[in-house]
Amino acid sequence: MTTALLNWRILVGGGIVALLALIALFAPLLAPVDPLEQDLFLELLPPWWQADADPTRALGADSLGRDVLSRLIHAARPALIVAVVAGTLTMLLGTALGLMAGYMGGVVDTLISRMVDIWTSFPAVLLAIMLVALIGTGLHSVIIAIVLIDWTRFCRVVRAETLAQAEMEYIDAAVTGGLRRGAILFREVLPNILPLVIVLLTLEMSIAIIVEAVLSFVGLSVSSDSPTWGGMIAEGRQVIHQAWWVMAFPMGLILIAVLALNLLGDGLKTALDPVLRR
Amino acid sequence: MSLILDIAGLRVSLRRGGHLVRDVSLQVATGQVHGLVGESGAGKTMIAKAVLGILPDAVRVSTGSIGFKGTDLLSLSPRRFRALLGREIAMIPQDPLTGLNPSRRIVAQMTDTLRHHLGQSRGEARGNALRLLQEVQIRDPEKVLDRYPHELSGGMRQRVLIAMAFATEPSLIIADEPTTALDVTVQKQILRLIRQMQERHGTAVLFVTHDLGVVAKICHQVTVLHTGQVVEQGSIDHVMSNAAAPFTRALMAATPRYDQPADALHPVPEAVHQTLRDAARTFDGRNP
Amino acid sequence: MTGPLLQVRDLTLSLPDRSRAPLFGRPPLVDIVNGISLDLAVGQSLGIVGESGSGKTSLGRCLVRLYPPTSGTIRFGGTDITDASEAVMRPIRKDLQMIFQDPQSSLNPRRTVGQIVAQPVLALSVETDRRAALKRADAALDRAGLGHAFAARYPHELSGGQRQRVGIARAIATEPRLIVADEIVSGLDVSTQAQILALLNDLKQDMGLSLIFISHDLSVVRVLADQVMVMLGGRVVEEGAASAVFDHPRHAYTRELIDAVPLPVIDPEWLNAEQAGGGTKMAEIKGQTVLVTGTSRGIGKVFVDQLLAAGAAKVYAATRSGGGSHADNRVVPVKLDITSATDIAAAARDCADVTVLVNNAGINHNSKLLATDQAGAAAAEMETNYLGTLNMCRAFAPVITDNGGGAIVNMASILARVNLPLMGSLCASKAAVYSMTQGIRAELASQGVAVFAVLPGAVDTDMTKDFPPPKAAPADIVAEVLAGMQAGEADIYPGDMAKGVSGGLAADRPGVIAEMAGYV
Repeated sequence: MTTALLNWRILVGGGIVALLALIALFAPLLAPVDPLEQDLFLELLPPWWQADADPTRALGADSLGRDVLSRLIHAARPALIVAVVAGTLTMLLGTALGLMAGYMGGVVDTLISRMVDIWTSFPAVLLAIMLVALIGTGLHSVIIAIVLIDWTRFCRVVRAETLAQAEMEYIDAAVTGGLRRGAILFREVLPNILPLVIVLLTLEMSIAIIVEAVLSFVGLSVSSDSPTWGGMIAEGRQVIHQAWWVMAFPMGLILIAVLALNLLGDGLKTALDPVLRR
Repeated sequence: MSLILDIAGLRVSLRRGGHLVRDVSLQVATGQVHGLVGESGAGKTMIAKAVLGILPDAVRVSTGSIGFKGTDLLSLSPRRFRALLGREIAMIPQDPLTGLNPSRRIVAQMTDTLRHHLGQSRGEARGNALRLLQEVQIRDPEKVLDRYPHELSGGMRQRVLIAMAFATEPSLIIADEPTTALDVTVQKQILRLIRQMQERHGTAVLFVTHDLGVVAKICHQVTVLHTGQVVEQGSIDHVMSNAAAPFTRALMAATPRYDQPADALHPVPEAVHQTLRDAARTFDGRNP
Repeated sequence: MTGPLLQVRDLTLSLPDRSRAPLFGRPPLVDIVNGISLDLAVGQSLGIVGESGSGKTSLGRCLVRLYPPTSGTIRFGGTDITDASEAVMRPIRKDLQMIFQDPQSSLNPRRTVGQIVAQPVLALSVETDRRAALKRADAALDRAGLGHAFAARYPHELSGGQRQRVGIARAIATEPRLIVADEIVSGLDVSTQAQILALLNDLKQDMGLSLIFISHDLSVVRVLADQVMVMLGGRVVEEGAASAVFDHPRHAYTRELIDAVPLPVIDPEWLNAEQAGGGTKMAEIKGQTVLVTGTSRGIGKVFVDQLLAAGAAKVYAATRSGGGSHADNRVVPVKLDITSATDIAAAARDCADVTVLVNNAGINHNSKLLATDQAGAAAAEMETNYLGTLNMCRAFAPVITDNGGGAIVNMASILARVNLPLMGSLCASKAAVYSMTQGIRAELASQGVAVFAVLPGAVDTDMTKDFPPPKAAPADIVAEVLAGMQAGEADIYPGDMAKGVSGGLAADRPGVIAEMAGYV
């Protein structure tokens, strides 16, 4: 497992994700200046390689003269908190319901499956905006919104996979081998579904980052004074003609984070499959 | 009786080294059924794929020739080869379900070949498809033409595939385990049908199978393979009653028979496999 | 211990047929396994053979209680396990193991071979200590000829034959008394297959194991089985000692199955040889559209119910009045008097999807042949029983051929073969039906229509109320007719009386005729 785990996708994807996590963790130490510090003399200062740049503002400054780099670093925090917390909770809820539906079948399956059908027929982003508007802004609302909307993604895939696994003869062998239903579910079925769930988790985390960005873009995430990537894009949009960098850097960072997570998921998919791993 | 297929010194190798088929030669003449027998990994499917030009990417023909009516198939341009395939060389696949496109009616799949290779009009092709279905003794051919593959039983699907294989009056048909997926009673019908069609049209058939029983019933000539090497070759009479190679004899003794009690069954001795594996290794040593 | 290790009585398994599921509500049930009984002694091995859809795999799964049986009983080692809960089953499972068909899917890809084999040992409390269980697994792996060095490997690292040995090791690790092995060599090469068969043979002898060996391959079954059971359409068509069944098959279907196996012997005639069983091919009830005449009472009524239970897609229930309704929506009432040409023509037009025709309608006036006052009754019997049935065949043979073939069943009587003075004209009309049926069978031989003559003895219906016992129950008669159709018996003699008379006619014809003449 050790050598195979280290395929290049995991190395690159995982490396970037780990780097982002470290940046988020040590944001106060890494940020060169206070992200909230305004300096109207530095308004829309360009990044370092352009003329009129200021070496203390490596990636330039926004319309209020705040340091773009410091804001980017601090904004990694909400993004990653949402990615990890919302991703994990979504996974737990969706997987639990998916396992139940797939393994228990009957009424439970019908109930859960119909719920998934109804859920997925709403446009997700609108539903998120409605939910946050309803329960109030803030990081926890964003997390709740993502969990409530996206559990269906896990549920559907896990249910289908559980059904496929339940068809396998090793499940029958476990029955004749005397395992109880619960034990079969957790010791035989779950380990075979877990790799898929982990891959989905990385995907979900990237989706959470995007949703968080969208919600902060429309001002429904954390309060507007703490920096977020989505919020920075919203502010940058207004000065796009004078200072493209205010918007471009957070966008680029979101792109990199999402790509890295998808890459990591792809790599894990091969690494965790005992057959593909060969 | 002229030679249709003349494989000489065929060597199929993995691109990253190692051989799967080791200098195999065999000939199939007009109207003959040639059985290619062996266990999994013996190279029988690789030979069939080499003739059909559908070897996997990781594999290539490294030496040898595949003569078809006097031309070496390996020397043909891809375009000329494609023109030959389906027109002069057809195949009957193993799995009657995946051998047909599930989303198209039988009539569409059958007339495709006729229109493409023989340039027939739509109406003409439909008429010929109907005639072919009648020839393979499908009940109600009119109705079957308008059905989808999943609406037919396994035996019916295999009949359709046989009709399609014979549609262009090819000189050579490659049948890759065509009855393995069928029940025995259906298998017998299908074997009978292949034999009837092949005799009527004078088609040469390369019949790939792992079942010595099937070979005994339908083949004129047999090549027994092990680790990509020919261990026995000759007429069916010779191989069934007079086999010289220890592996052929061991394989016969390891084949269970309902007309013999249990103690008549003897697994193939490991030494027999080992001798052939060693021979393969020696071959690879000489031909890296 | 006394008595058989495994005793099965009248086992039936019905599963929902999802292909015919309605938009709402439950899909209808179809019988997968129907009325199976068997006894298996300690150390004995039973081979179950059949083609796809014969129900053999489902039966095997029922026996180890992977499927709960719908009705009947299963006793294992004296305990009734028919409805046993998993908790009750657990201590029994130690003695009752299964080897599965597909070694690829029957081994959890995420567990090592050692863990897989140790799993039942631990879960069934053969050993409570993990280390002891793994040790036992090693021993089982050695016993299965794989070697305990494989314990640390994963299933995907093994070949097909090696995986199947893991499956065997898992089954023998708890030292069971009975193993059910389902198609365990079907995907293997001949040389590997022979090794696995030899291994099972050794285990059977060394461990005193009882074995139920399920396979589509008769040759493979011959290697391991003392007893053989041949299945078709969920029923047993023939059973007995392996040597008897293979060397002297009694049943047409068994013969057909055996003749279809290609032996590695040159036999130029084999390919061209006709199927065993003459012109009559077996008929499958499942999915057929059946028209039954005379369904207002008696056998006809029973036919409708049993055809539905056997999975018929649609049953036209014909009565003279055209009335009557049925709880099952697959039943369509039809007005049909078989002495009326108009009725028959209308039925052939309205019921154009019929694939199986059961000519059951008939009358009996208990008339003597030479009694002048009963001439009218004799003519009526002939008109209904013979001409009516003939006209139905005439009208429906093209319908059935158009629908791709099927079957015609004519209800004659054992009286077709021996005349009973009390009802001489009935006997003559039935003899005419029997003769006519044989003729139609010949005419339709090449058109994919199986033609059956049914010659039952006395059946307990109001038509035979004047007839002395013994009389068979209509349900049993019909069940035997359906089984006979599916087995491809051309002439079906349901019930002990019919079998007895037909057997007697073959052995001692004058004796039977004399006895019948004195009857009543």
